[in-house]
Amino acid sequence: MDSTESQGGWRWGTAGFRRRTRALREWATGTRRLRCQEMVELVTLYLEGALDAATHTRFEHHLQQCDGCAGYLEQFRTTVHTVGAIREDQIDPLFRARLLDAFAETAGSW
Amino acid sequence: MVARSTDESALIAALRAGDQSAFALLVDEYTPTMLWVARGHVATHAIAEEVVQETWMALVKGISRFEGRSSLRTWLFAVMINIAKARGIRERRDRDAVARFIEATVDTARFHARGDAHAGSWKEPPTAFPESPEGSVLSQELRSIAQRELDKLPERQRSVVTLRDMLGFDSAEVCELLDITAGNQRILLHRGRAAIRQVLEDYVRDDSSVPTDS
Repeated sequence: MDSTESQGGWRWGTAGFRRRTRALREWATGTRRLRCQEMVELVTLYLEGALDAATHTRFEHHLQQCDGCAGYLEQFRTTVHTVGAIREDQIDPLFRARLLDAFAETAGSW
Repeated sequence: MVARSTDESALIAALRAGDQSAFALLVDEYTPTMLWVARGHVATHAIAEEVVQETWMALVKGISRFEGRSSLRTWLFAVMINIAKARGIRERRDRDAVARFIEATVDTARFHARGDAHAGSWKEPPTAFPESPEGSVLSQELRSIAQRELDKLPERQRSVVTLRDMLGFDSAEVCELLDITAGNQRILLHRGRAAIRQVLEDYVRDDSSVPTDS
């Protein structure tokens, strides 16, 4: 934190004042640029198509300008794809035999 | 996603007739993933097997009334999750999922801190994972790392990520199966995916890191 900022509002430098004015305007009009740290929490909503229209636009706008967030989104997509490729197809033969026995008993009792 | 290699309605008809080979086909197709899901809800593998067995017996006993309105797979998982829940739930490590959402899913140290001109931006921007064609050694490695992490997730995250991303159920089905809201489902999905992304990133980094020049 630089010293001009930490000593109270009336001492802000011109640059700090401009930055704050812009931030306030952007906040008031809902056009504030999303920060990367916010982007990472919106990725699932984005992929689900669950962002509201304004946030969706801001998300994509950020994405076009930020290689880091584009990279993060790609990592996330790869993660989803990788989980989708997990195969769980082993079955314990003893358990399988137990199920088939239970079937024979139940079906036989009709 | 479970392969739909078999014609379900023909199998159900055979099952009604007491055909054990039809039953065996269905068991082979669905039991492994049913066990995986059940294990997320109960304390031991043995209890998970009981839950799965009870589910199959519920199908066999109720097969004459099975109208096929929902797919067999959805029916099996819905019944099984109910049975599992009744069996005493595994310790709830994520009871407070909503409160936890305010916790960041990416280490805050990865971003410039408050007060910095670039506050909230990446210090070191992430880059896409390397290409890993289906069947490559890398893709197999990533898959097994992802599966290990998935297994370690808190119960509800594990269930949601398993049902959505591993088995391909859609979000409405998952909300119904687990009796959770759409918002909560997305939070759990996001947290679970983010945790798995992190271990994959750690692995890829370590794997490709050049030795330090010490």
